[in-house]
Formats: sequence, C-alpha cells, structure tokens
Amino acid sequence: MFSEFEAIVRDRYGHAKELKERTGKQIFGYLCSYVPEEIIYAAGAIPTRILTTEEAPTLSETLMQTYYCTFARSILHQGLAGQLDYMDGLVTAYSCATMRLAFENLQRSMGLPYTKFLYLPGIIDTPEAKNYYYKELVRFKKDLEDLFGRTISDDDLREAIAVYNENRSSISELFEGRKEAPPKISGREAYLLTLSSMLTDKADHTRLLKKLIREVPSRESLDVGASRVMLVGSPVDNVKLIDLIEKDIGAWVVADDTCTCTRYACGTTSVDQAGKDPLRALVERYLIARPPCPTKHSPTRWIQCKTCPFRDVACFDLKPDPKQELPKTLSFQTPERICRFRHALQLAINHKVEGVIAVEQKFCDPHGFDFHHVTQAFQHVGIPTLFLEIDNMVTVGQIKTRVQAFIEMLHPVDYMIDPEIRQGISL
Amino acid sequence: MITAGIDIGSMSADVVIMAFDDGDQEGKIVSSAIIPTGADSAGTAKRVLDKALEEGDINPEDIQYIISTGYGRVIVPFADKNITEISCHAKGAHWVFPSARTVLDMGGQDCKVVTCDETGKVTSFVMNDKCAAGAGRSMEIMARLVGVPLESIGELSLKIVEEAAPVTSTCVLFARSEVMELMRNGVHKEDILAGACDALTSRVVSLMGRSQMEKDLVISGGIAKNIGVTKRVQERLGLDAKIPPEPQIIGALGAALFAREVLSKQTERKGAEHV
Repeated sequence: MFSEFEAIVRDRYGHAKELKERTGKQIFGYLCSYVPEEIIYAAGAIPTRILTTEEAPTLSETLMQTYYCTFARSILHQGLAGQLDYMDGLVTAYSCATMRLAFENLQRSMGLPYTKFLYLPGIIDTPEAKNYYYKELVRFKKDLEDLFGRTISDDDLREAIAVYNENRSSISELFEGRKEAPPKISGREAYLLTLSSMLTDKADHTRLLKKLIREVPSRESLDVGASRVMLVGSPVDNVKLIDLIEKDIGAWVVADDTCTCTRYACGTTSVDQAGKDPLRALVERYLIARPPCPTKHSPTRWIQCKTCPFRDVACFDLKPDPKQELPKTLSFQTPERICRFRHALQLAINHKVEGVIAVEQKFCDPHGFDFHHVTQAFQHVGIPTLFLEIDNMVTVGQIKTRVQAFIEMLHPVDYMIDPEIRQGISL
Repeated sequence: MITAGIDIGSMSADVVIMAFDDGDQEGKIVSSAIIPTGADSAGTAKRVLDKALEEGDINPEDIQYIISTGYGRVIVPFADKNITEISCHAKGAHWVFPSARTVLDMGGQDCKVVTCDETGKVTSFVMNDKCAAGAGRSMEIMARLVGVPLESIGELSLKIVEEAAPVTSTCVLFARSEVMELMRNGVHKEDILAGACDALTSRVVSLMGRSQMEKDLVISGGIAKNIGVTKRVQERLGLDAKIPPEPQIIGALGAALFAREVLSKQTERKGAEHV
C-alpha cells in the first residue's frame, strides 16, 4: 500500500510529467507551505512542492554560497540542472531570506512563463497581516485569471478548498494512529503520506488515503519500539533520517512539528459561513488554523512573556514539575492568536512522546535560533531534547551516534535487551 | 561471569575484559589492550581482543557477552550488542570515580561532554561539530609537522620559550598551513605546540559551556594523556579534573559493564518466563 506513496516521492519528476500528460493540466512548482495551493488548483493547474534530492547541489554554488542551507541550494540546483523543466510556473511565499534567494535565482535562470513571489508579513496573526495577505491573494487570483484567460469563481475556489480539506483531514485521521502504542502508522509512513500528497493531484491522493484508512484497522501491528520520539525543526524530506531512527535504532517517530509532515496537514479551511469570501477563509487557514513556522513566530515573543501579545496562550502557565499531571489538552490558537510552542507541547503530550529530536538543516537560521527555546518549552514538561544538525545526510555515522546515545539515555538497559525478550517489558 | 567491552575508535581500538562473581555488580578488570585502528576495522577488532585474551591468559569461550562501542561499533563481527561511546564513557568513568557527574571525552576525531547522575546514567551530552578540530587527529598532525613524538607534545607545550604562537584556524588543514608559516618564521617548536594546545583547549572549553556541566569532572580518551591540554582545560575552567590511570580504555570499560547488565537482565527475564 505504501509503495504507491513511496513511488510518487521517489520518482517525483517522472510522476509530475506523467500527471501533466494524463490530465493536460499545467504543473506549478511551489517552495513553501504558506503558498495557498487551493487558488492554483481552482485555476486548473496542479501545484507540486519542490523538495530536496540527495544529489550534491553543485550547480547552485555559482549563485549561492555553500554556507546557505542545503534545502534551498538543492532546490536551486535542480532548477539549474533542468530537472524541473516540466514546470509551467513557480510560486512561493516569503518565509526566510535563503528561500527567497533560491526562488529569485530560479526565477531569473529558468525562464518560466509565470512566477509569483507572495509577500507574507513576518508577523501573521494580526488583523493588519491578514488584510495584507488577503490583498496579496486577490492579486494572485487576478494574475492567474489573466494567465489562464478565465474567471476563477468563488465556487471554483470552494470546490478546490473542499478537495484540499478532504485530503488534509484524511491525513489527520490516519495520524491519529500515531498516538497508539505501538503506533499504527510509523514515522516513515507518516512522512511518505504527506510528502506524496504535496507531489500529486490532491483528489487522486485522497482516493489512495481513503483506501488506506479502510486497510489500517486490519494491519498487523508494528513492533514494540525502543522509544517514542518526536521530530521538530527544519523541513525533513528525506525519509532516510526517519529510517535511521526507526529501522537502525528502533525508536518510533510518533509525532512531529515540521512543515513537511504534520504542520502541512494541520488545519482545514472553514467555508461554512454562507457567503463568506473563500479567499478570506484561506487567509484564516494559512495564517491562523495551521501552526506557524519560526519565521512567522519569533521565540523571543514567548520568553518576553510580560509584553508578549500571546501571553494568555503561552506555555508559561504549565507546571514545570514533570511529576505533576499534565493538562489533557492545550489549545494553541484563539480566534486571533497562535502559539507554536503550545502546539508542539500539545502534540508531544497527546502522542506520549518521550524525547524530542530538534532537527536543523545545516545553516538554517530560523530553526537554529529556535532550538534553545524549544528545549526550554519541552523542559517544562520534563521531555529531553536532542539537537541534530543534518546536511542531506552526508555524515550518517555521527548522526547515528547522537540519536542512538539519545535513545540509550531515555531507556538505559531495557532498550538493549533482545526485542523478543523485551516484548513483555513496559518501556 | 566474564564480559568484554571493545571500543573501536577512529585512532585506537581498546578492549577491557571484566570478571564478576555471582551477585557482584562491581567486578574487576582482568585484562585490557590498546592497538591503533587500521583500515580494516573488523580485523583490528579481532586483533585487539586476541591481544587482551592472551595477556590475561583467558580462554575466548569463557567470555559470555561482548558489547562493542565507538565509531566502529557496528562492524565488530563477534559483538552481541553495540552501545554508543557516549553511554559507555559515562558508565566507565563512573566506575573508576563514583563521584563523576561530567565526563569530557577527547578522542581521535571528536570530543564530547557527557553528564550523568549518581548511577552513571547519561543525563545529557554535547558533541563537537563534524570536523576533527579539537580532537586527537589534530594533535597527531601537529606532532608530525613539528617533528616530535605525539607523546611528548604535552610536556613540550608547557615549556614556552617566548610566548604561545597564535593558531587561530578551527579547521585542522588551515591550522596546518598556519603552523607551517610559523615554522618558516623560526618560531620555537615549544611555542607552536603551546599555541596548538591553547587552540584545542578553547574549542573544548566552549563545548563545556554548551553542556550542563557539574562536578566532579573526569577527562577520558586519548588526549587525556596530553598534559598540555588537560592542564590548560583545568586552568581555564578553574577546577580540578580527575584523570583515570588509563584514560583510553574508559569506553571499553563502560561497554564491559553494560555487557554484564544486559546479560544479567536477559537471564533474569528468561528465568522469569520459565517459572
């Protein structure tokens, strides 16, 4: 079953070309999960995300220094190498300066008929920011209407929103299985589901998901793992990292706060209210209903609680004593405000996470700055964290040593006992 | 019960064989061996174990459980389990010095600070970045460049003639170029080595700053034998460190101790199932 999802991720170029041929639709590449794909979909094109490959990003070096993150450099390299030539357009929303540089270089070098950089403010949960992004989306829609020579009606948008909502809620439904012990869905599977969803037509993908939802209850359960860990941090799009944690070391990745998995699938667009402008509804989904990325939610707002506009939802009210019973649910959003740390803690508690691995794509500033605050947030609830720098997985040996030592720290000797004997031990 | 721990590091391969009486958790070291790690890690593992068996006059069949550790831990063909050197260094250092709460392990190609609780269980750890700056390999390169034996670097670095020469590059290869420049300018080799030891110390001290260090501090690994570095580290941190009599076997010692724990627990578990 998962082979279908895996095939899409592995042969993403081939899949995109096949999709284009089969449907006759244009393929729009996008770089960031803040791009409202629904508008592109409503215009009749298929948005697919550009993710990294393991190929050394050598061609990027003439335009970007090697001290920028490999995520951005790999994307630029693929464009320069002609691997993205199947694309008819390229869109991104402003996240960090590095991704903007990658985008601008692709824009200049690829000669695409349509490119769009959506300006997204640095603070997103204020009425001003929402109005600003709304106006960006209105302009974007107009652009696409001119490009395709047709009107994108509110009904077109509502239809696209419904397709995306169904896909996101199906993924979320499957992710409920990650709460179980042992989990019903492994971390590898969770990532493959979400990554493949970004790389294909959403309606097709939802059909595969529905099939999977029917099959999951009768699946053979997964092994008792050595530990339950959560990934937070930079985009993770190479399942080799998950394999290293799950297959080589034996710990399950039962939760994550990354834009390539849970954060992407979180939050649907609400178009319930009759007559509500679908573009306004999209603004709510992208700026409020989904958990924010560190580029849009500065950690210092949390540590300066006294002046923090989010202080009523920040996590300082949690009991720092790990022996204290934790609240069953934590809400990370109020109608106007959001708190990223609260979202991550909520996931960790709901999924019974024992340790958190904070992944930083080498040279990724937003997540690098974030680590100290992430550690503090988890310390509040007695969950240890490991800082793990990754770079297209070139030094697997050192990564493995760090992760293995972290799991050993969580479960000193029990973890090392033979799995068949371990079955009966409650870890 | 007889167990063995084998640590295949980037520069040396070390073995510790331990014996435990029934119910004894403390145990004693019955033999140990250290050899340089060659290109063939699996062969090195065999050779170093054979050496320890021979020196301790121990029959290979008597060893009931073997745990491997270090970078080469996964390629030791005869090991029952592998455990990271991070857990093993805490375990081993705690066995030698029960008051140990922080272990600074300075190995061949990396350097780590591990904190542990009163039972020797790891509570946190930090490691240096990917390159070998701040590790044994850089000292080896400096020794060769200046033309002195590796073992004498520490002593020489303390005999400063004029002043310690500044070696500022983090990268070992750049540092090597810097040192060549210093040599061309006729700087005394003692002063160059003092500069190299200072540079390595700075790297280690900033790593310690990122850790959750508590006293007592134990220094293990090959560089613990370099007095030029250990003395400087203690001065910079303003505290006395404990250095084991043979700092290079601490990882292997921890692995041998883990071997007893895992084996006892498995036997216990199997026994419980039969009842």
